[in-house]
Amino acid sequence: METMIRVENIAKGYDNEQIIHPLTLSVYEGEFLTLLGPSGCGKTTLLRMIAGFEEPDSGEIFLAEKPVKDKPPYQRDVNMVFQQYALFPHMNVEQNILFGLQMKKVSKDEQQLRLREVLEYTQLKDFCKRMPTQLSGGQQQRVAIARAIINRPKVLLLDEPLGALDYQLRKSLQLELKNLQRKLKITFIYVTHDQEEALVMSDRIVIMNKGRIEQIGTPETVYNTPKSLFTAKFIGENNIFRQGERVFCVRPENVHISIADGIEGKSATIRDVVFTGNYHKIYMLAEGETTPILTYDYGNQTKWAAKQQVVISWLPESEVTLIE
Amino acid sequence: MNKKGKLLAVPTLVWLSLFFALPLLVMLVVSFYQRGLYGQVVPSFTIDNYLRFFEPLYMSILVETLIVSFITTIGTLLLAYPLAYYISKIPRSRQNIWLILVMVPFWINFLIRSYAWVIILRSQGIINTVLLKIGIIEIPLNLLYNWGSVMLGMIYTLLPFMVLPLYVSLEKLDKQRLEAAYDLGATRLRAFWHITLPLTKPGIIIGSVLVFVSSLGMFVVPDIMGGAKSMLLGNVIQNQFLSARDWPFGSAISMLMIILSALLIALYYKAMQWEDENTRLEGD
Repeated sequence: METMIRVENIAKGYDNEQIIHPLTLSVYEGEFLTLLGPSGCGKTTLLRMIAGFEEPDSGEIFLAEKPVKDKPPYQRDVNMVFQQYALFPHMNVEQNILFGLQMKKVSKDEQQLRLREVLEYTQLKDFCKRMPTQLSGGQQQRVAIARAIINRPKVLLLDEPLGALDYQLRKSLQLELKNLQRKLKITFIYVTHDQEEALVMSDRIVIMNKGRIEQIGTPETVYNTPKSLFTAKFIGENNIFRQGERVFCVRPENVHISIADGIEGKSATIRDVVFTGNYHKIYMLAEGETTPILTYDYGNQTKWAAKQQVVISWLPESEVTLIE
Repeated sequence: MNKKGKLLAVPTLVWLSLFFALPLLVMLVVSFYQRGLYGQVVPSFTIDNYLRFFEPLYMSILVETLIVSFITTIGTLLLAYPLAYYISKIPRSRQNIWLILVMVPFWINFLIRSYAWVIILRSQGIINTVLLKIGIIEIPLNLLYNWGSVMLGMIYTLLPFMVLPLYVSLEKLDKQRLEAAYDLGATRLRAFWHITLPLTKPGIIIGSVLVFVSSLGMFVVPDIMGGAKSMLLGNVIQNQFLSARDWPFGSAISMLMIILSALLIALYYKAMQWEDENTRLEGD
């Protein structure tokens, strides 16, 4: 795989605060890469440095092997989809989408050709002459994407593009975006704080915390074998255990519970049973411990109830040792 | 709204009726009356006052007034836009200092400020004295009592009315939209032309209407800084009431000016509406 973007020893600070500690990252051609982390972890700053809106204090950024750190945004072959879409309110949908091509003085014929193409991709054909104010949030979001991809950038940067939308719409747009990326074969760098979104869409996930990369890997890797305590807690739900110096986690779905009648394992008391739709969450307190252990019981009926005495067990391979 | 709530508006309503609506009504009535021999108002109906305004003498003053107001508007716009742009870009704490500096002249009496200009510009004034002393000129320059000094005074006086609405517009401008323009390949200049300028149009219109309407009625500046040579519509009205003692004619010109101003203010509301519709997007 060709490297599309290489970020080398990039660092950034404001005043006395270090936003990004020197970090290095490669993004491959045609990849859907997600920068995932809580707010303030530096993911948006990293994205903005790639776009050219922020200047790194040190390090270099390579786009298709060429250094771009000193180039202004309008000379970089990347485009961005902004969190609040940042559509131009005084232009209709078509004018918004064509803005980039007009700035680059692309011929009128070519403009129309590409316009038809992206309208097809984004299903915006019927909204061409509408003003942004006359569109729903989801439609505005599509215009923002169309406006960016019509330039055929090498890399598309997306800064929490679904953050402003409601849950149902977000779900369907996640898949739509993923399909679009597959069709276009453009490299996507996607910023989000929503771990579920990251798992659904990404080829690889970069987990960031306090300006550092905690782990890079496929959704399966980061979910099943988190390296650090932070990753283990941030992605999905997890049970964290400490045995002396060793810290490890066991996913709730790997924790087995059975009725307390002499089976080997930790004995515990059920504290809460919570119905979530397609499964029950069961919170248990092991003897002499204060943090509850969580497991899932699938199906819409459950035989478990609060205050019940149970035995908890898991397979040794379910334990994942973590760096603190 | 209940009855008690309506009572709250009574003082203002009484005040406005007594000191605004009533005098306006009186002026409207007087504008259709005639001037008596000794300058008294004779209550007999005529539209001559209005027709008289369309005589060439007054038409040329109207045209002059419109030209002066237009140039004043353009002048304040060209000066105010870069200033407002600068203020909107600096950190917030420093913005306030700049805005206060823009408004400081309002706290000083208008007449005093106009006479200060006279002191600066007259033939024994500060500028001429300095230029004579350092030998750049041998006879004092005529800096005062011409159209140039009137324009200078007008632009100076009305500048804040342009800076403030422009600042509000620029300050509201979503920075992300500019970034989007850069991202899509626009240079700074083109982003300004295609994004900043159109999106601050409401501020430009509001500022222009404020300045234009204010300059239409301005009579103190042309009086003090223009001398006898410059006569604007405001001066004509002032003369009709004070020297010529022709109240009906003065009233008629005033009514016409009110109509003209009202038309411009209608435009201002159109601009406000436009802005309302277009800022809604940011809240989504």
